[in-house]
Parts: sequence; C-alpha cells; structure tokens
Amino acid sequence: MASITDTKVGSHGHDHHHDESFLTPKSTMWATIIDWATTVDHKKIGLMYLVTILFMFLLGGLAALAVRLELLEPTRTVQTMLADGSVKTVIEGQLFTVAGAANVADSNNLYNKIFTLHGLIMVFLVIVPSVPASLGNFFIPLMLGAKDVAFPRLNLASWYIYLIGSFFAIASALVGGVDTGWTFYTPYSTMTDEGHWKVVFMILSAFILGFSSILTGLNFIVTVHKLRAPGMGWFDMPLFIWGMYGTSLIQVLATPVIGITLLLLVFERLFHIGIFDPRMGGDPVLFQHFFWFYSHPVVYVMILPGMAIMSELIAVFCRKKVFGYRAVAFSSLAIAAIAFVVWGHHMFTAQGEVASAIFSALTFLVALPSAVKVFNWIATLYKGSISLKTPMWYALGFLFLFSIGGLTGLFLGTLSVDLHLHDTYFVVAHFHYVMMGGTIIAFVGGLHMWWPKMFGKMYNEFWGQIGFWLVFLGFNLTFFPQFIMGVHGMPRRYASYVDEFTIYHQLSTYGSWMLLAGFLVHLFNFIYSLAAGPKAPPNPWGGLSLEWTDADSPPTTHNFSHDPIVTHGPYDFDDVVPPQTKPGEFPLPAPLPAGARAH
Amino acid sequence: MNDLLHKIWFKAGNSDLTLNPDGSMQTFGVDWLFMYILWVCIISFVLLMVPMSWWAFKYRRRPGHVQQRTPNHNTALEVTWVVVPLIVVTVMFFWGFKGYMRAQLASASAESLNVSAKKWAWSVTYANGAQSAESTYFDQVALDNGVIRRGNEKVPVFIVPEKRPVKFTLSSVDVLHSFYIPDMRIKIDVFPNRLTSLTFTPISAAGQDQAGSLYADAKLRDAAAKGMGRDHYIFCAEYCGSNHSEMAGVLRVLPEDEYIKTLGEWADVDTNYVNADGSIDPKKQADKQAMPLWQLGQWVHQNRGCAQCHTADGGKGSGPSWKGYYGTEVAFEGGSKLDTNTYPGMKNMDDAWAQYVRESILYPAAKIHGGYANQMPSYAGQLSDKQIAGVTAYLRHLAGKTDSVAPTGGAAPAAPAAGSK
Repeated sequence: MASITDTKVGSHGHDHHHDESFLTPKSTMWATIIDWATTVDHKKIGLMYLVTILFMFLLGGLAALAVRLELLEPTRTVQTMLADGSVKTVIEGQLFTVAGAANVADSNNLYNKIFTLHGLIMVFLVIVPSVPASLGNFFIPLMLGAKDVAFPRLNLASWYIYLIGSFFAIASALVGGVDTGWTFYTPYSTMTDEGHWKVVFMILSAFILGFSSILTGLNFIVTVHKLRAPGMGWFDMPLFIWGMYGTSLIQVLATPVIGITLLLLVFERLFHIGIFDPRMGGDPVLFQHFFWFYSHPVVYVMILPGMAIMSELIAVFCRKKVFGYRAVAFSSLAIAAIAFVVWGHHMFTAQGEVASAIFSALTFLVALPSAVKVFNWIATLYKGSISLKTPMWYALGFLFLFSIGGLTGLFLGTLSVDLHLHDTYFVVAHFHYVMMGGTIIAFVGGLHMWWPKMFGKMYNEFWGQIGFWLVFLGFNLTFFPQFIMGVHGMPRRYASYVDEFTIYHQLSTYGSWMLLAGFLVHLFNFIYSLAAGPKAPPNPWGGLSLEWTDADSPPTTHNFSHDPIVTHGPYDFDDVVPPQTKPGEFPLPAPLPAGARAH
Repeated sequence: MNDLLHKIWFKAGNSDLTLNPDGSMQTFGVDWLFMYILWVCIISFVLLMVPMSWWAFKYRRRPGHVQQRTPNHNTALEVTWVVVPLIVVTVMFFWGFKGYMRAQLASASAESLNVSAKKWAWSVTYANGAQSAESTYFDQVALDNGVIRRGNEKVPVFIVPEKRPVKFTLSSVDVLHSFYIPDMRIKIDVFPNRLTSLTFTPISAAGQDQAGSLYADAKLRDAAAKGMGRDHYIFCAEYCGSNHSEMAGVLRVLPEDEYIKTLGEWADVDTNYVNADGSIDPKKQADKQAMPLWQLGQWVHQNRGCAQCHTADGGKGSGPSWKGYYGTEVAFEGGSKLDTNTYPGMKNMDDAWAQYVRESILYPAAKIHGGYANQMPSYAGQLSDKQIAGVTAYLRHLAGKTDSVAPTGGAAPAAPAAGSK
C-alpha cells in the first residue's frame, strides 16, 4: 500500500493564525469586510465570484421565467387582474401588458428586451465565468498543491472588473434595456435605441467582462505551468485542471476578438464609421463572422469547465481512474483547437456554398472529441464502486442531457437539414441542452461535491436529491418539447406564435416552474447547511486529489501546512487509502488487497 | 416505428411537398436525412444510457462491494469509438451537402418572384408586376368572449404555381430578415446590401386535408379547403425588432391555370379600374366592378404593410393611426406644425395634406410626427403615384370626408435638403 504524502506531519499543534480556516472572520465586521474586499486569497475571490455569479444566475433565471410566462399563451392573455380587485378581460395585449405596455409593439418590445437580458446575463455574466472563476479559482491552486494562483492581485482585479462590467449591464437594463438579442446582429443593433446609451452601456459591459475573462485565463495558464507541486507532472494533474487549462487558452486567444468587434460596433454607432452598416458601406455579415469567431470558441469556454468537473465527479464517486486519462486530457485541447475553426456553422443561411461546406465538415470533426469524453466517462463506471449521492446523480444527469445536446448538434451540422432548423426552437433546445444541461448541471453537481470542502459543512443529502430530480425532470419538460416545435417550424425570438405550437409552449412553461422549484430547493439546502449543517470532514467522499487529501475543510488561509509532495496519481483508488480524520463516519471500501501500483 | 416517429416530428408526415430543380424530392430528401440522423441519435443514446444505467445500478456502493481493477485504457476500443462515429458523421456530411447544393441551383425556366422584406412585412412582386392583393388572418383564436386576433392586421397571401420551379430573389430595405417556409424545409437570410435567392418546385396544390390546418378559425378552414390551394406558413426567422413575430405570410400553391388567372386579377388591381387622376373609367367599369380611389388606398394599406404600424380603427400602433387622422393638427418633432406654409405653393390644407402624405411615403424621415420613432422605411419605387393618391383618399375616407378632391398632381416633392427635420 502506498503512503499518501508526508504533509500531515506536524500540521496540527501550531497555533499560528495561518492555520485557521480562511473563513474565520476578523475581530470586527468592518475589518472582515475590508479583509474580503482587499483579499488576494484565491479561495475568498472564488467565493466572491460564486456569490455574484449565483446572484446573476437568479436575475437571468427570472428573465427566463418571464419569457416562458409570456409564451404560455400564443398571443393574448385573456384575463388581467386590475388593482381594484375586479377582473377585466383584455383582448389586445399580451401577458406583459400587465407591466404597462400600451400596444402590441410595446409589449413585443418588452418581451424582446427581456429575452435579450436573459441571453446577455446568462452568457456573459453567468456561464462564461461560472465554473472557472468560482470553482476554478478555488480549486486549481488546491489541486496543484499551490498556495495561491500565480498572480493573486490580478485575480482580485479581475473580480472587480467583473463587477464593473456587471454594473454596466444592469445599468443598461435599469434605464430601459436593449432589444438587440445577445448576438448584437447588425444593422439592427446599430439602428435601435436612438439615444445610444442603453446599447453602448450593454456593449461596454460585454467589453469589460472580456478583460475579466482574459485576466482569469492568463492567471490560470501561468498557475498550471509554474505552480504544480513537486512530483506532479502534466499527466499527474487532475482532469479538472486539464479542462480549465483548455478553457483558459480559448479565453486568452478568442476574447480579444469580441473586444475589438464590440469597439467597432460602438465606433460605427457613435462616429458613423461604416464597418457593418450597409448604409455606410459596411457589411452586416462581417459582423457575424467577427462575432462568431469569438462566440463559437466561447461555447467551449462554457462547456469545457462542465466536462472538467465531470471527470472529477465520476472518478471520485466511482472510485475509478478515469478511463483513457490521456484521451480525455488531449480531447480538451483538441476541442479548444477545433473550436476556432467552426464559427461559420452559425451562418449556413447567410454565406456561400463553399464556406458552408467547409464549416459543416469541420463541425462534424469537433463532435468527435466531445463524444470521446462521454464514452470514457461511461466506461469509467464499469466495475466501479458507485456512490449515488447528489453529485453523482448530477454526473449521470449530465451524461443524459449532454448526450442529447451533443447528438442533436448532428442535425444542425448537416447542411440541408440545418436550412430547415436554423433559427428555430430546435436550436434553442439544442444549446440549452448543452449549455444548461451540460455546464449548469455539472456546475451544480460540482458545487455539491465541493461544498463541504469550501465551507466545512455538509448539505442535506435527501433534499439534495429531491432538488436534483426536480431540476432534471423540469429541465427535460422545459426543453424537450422545444425540439419538436422547432422541427414543426417555430422560429426563435417570437413574442407571439401561431396556435399549433401552443401545447409545446405550455409544457415548456410548466417545466420552467419545475426548474425554479428545483433550484430553490438547492438554494435553501445550501443556506440551511451554512446555518446548521453538520461539520464536514476533510475528505467526505474519499477523493485522492490534493484538495481532499492534504487540505482541511474549509482549507486554512495558506491552503497547506507544508508544501504537498505528490506520491500518487489523483485517481489511484485501487492502490491508495484516502485519509480521513474520522474513520467510520463516512465509510469507504477497503483498499484492494493486491500489490503493485498500476502505472 | 419509423412512420410513427416521422409523424411526431413532422406534422401529419407531410414530406412530399417540393421537388429540387433536378427533379429529386427536396422536402423528402431533408426529411429522409433527418430521420437517418434521428435513428443514429436514438441508437447512440440507447447504447450510451443502457450501460450507464446498468452499471450505475450493478456497481452501486453497498456493504461488501468494492471496485475492481480494470484496464485504464484500451487502445483498440478507443480507436474504434473514434473511427465508427467518424464514418457515421461523414455520411451525414455528404448527404447534407448534396441536398443543400441541389436546393441552391435554380432552373433557368423558374418562375421568378422578387421578395422585399421590411420591418415588419413581406411583399412579393410577380413577373407581370403584380403584387399580392389577398390577405388572411391565419390564426384567429376563438374564445368565450368572441374572436381574438393576432397583433398584426392580416398577413398577405403569396401564390406559386404547382409543379413548376419557382425562384425567390430576396432583398431587405432595412435590417436582416430571414425568409422561412417551414413546410418547404427552407430558409434564406435577407440582406439590405445584397440579393439572396432560394428555389424549389412545389408539387402539390391538392391535399385539401391539410389546406385548412393553418387556420384555427372554422370559416377560414372551410374556405381554404374549398379548392383555393394548399397553404403554408411563411415566417421571419431572423430577429428584426418589435414585431418580428408578426412578420408573417401565407404561401399558397395553385394549379397552373388558377395561378395565371389570379395573377391577372392582381395585376388589374390598380391599373384597370381607376384613371390616373382618380376618376373612374366608364369603359373599364363596364368590364369590372368599379373601385373608388379610397378603396385602392385601403387595398394598399392592407397589402403593402402599412397596416403593420398604422391601424385603420384608431388602435395604437408604431405609427399614428389613420382613423380620423386626416385634417387633424400634426405637430412635427422640432416644434413646427403642418400648415399651408410647410411646403411651397400650397393653396389649402388639402394640398398640404396630399403633399405631406406623399412625402411621408417616399421620404419618411423628412418629417417625424411628434411622439413617434423615426423608423418607417421608404416606399420610393414601390408604390405608384396612383397608389399614393389612393392612400391620401383613404385617409380622407377614414376622416369622414367623402367629397372628391383631385390630387394636386405635379412633380414629386424634391428629396428633402440634408439636415432638415
């Protein structure tokens, strides 16, 4: 049996303040607040990101619920409750009429602004930063055995930049909102909003958030290169790190393009430089090329972190080394590379035949490394010891939903079929299965797995699983009907629709309420855990990566009492007994009796 | 099983709707490929989920169960599950590409239709210069308290001949739109700065069983079923602003003779009944039913997209309602008002109004009615002088003025000087 590390020696008994939990408050409230606001501790920054991102997720989610509510009826809502309690039948006007819209165009405008807000918040403020900035920030140094990220002050700066970017987005929404769609397609985006400021604020927001993204990515790349613990080679890193590394590469390389594009958009709007607007000699399709040159790779910025979490969930909760470790690691890089050359598949109805053919072929290629990952995760289950706790349910949920999301991408990559499905609800359903069914599901799963490590408290397992089933079933109820109505011809971004789609829209709206219930269960479960949850041991799941084996729950300010020395791989469950502070409290199977370590 | 799936995914399994220029069945080709991919997906999904579920159950953690040592990788297996999907998707790529190219190439003999898109209406100009003269409410919703309409006024009906290739050439006057006919499995983006096109051969004007399926309203359903032809939705699929979801139309496939006859009638609409000065030509009147000038204006309002923004019943819209509008005091942005000094040489307010209406149609940005956004596209080149006169007459009609005022005529107003409001 291999020994773990020698770091535990002498780690207790010190009363140095750095051995305290990083969550330990200062003497006064103000001191605590200033401590957090000026901290360079990656864990605190990760938690501050987590809180802000969850808040934004709530805002974006409310916008989504409003969108679904509007679509409950094809066109008009019949009954509106008036302030005096009497019920009046409203014939002209949609659900949003209640919010004060005077006519059809106005209520449509309100709808357009809300779906735009939903898209912008969820893409730029939630999914892009979600996993890397919160869990990544918290766990990359811990998994590498480092005290912090490579540039701690830059890390804090990127959180503040994120806050400033969010401020502009919310300011834009508060002064009336924009109706451009999150894609800002020209020339509509340069013609709408004659006062300029709402759209300019929103663009500025995306521009500023880009810097936050680039700085975080840069920080992670350097951290992974330079701060691995002694003994940790590239292929001894947990796969979470590989996923984060691929994500960071894309962030650093692609984000400048969107920054430049958005600046050009502002220049065109304010200074009338003709770049995208045909009235000034520009070309609207040029914008689409620029936009998707960033925004397609960013699709993988969104999904790679989800995949990164998946590898950890599956390994820890099956007690197996991830099948084909190198294939999974290299597929992260392959996805990052191919992601840069498939942007044109967003424009099959807008570009020439040759371009479409090339982008279609490349699109099918990028499906392969994603498929490889799914095959490997499922193969990892084989002959494992599978603990069906909430995080593992989320891992299985991810495999179910991401498989659907990935497979339905095949329809959209096929040219002739895409001519029919492009810009319909089929596309909406497809990318929600990938983005939400993939990234958000993995994020929530990862949050459950690492919750005890982050806060030193256990969540309630029963309510965790109730939450999972509500989210999983609600998700499918919300988005599966959208595939069908998409094939039937329901276009995207419609405030009203023809009758025959009613049943699918209604199912979808009911599903969105179920999703809300699921997320609320998780939220209350987490809040209860913080307030009254049982204390978590350092290694509740029996993981073997350094954050489980060598750090306390919650970790101390400097993460480790000694520099960890890595003597085993992160997934050598067959040979290594995970250390526990209280043996028996979280029983794990005995190690395999047989001898030599697998190499 | 295949049929059942097909019926779920495609309404009533309608696959036999259009031909490619080379005679292959276009919609069928798309549906067939869709079904192929669907089966690949179903089989793959089952192949993934069955072992996942079975192993998650069989190897669940329980007392006495430990994980077993298994190989950490298997090169042969890993190569297989890369190569097999690669072959499967290569097939998809080639068939998809073939179907796509077939739909791109128009036959030289194709019936040529020009589509103009603007916020938020489609219009089609046929080879003989005619434009659609028919419109329909395609999804009225009957409720207890009566019939509720969609937000748009009627949507236009466009016609195509049965069993002949048609080619749509499309352009936009403002932002991006996308011309989408779900039943034909085809869409193409529409740009302000270049022409795009799409082509197909509708093969069936029959199929009355489905003719009415567009209409929730029983009366319209019956009418559609009585041999008018086969109707299909047209949607805008590229987000284009406030009334994106109201930017719709109906495509009707007619037998060849019906098609020719209808086109002839539509071409007549504003050439045969009424003289250029608005008076009615008695000889033409003998042939056809007379159409007063205001009715021509009403026809323009219904069929040229005016109704998308200007209601005729006093309801609110993106632009001023036409009901009772004529003769009211119009305050422009910037403080000036419409009066006889607004334009040079106006003898009275009727002259000024005629000029104002004309200018607003041809150069909408020249004067903005206070309180409304500057967003109307220009109709220069799209409406004839007589049609514009008709609009003025219709405005007068809606304001209760029935006396006939001959339009001032004369030259079209000069383009407004740069910078004028």
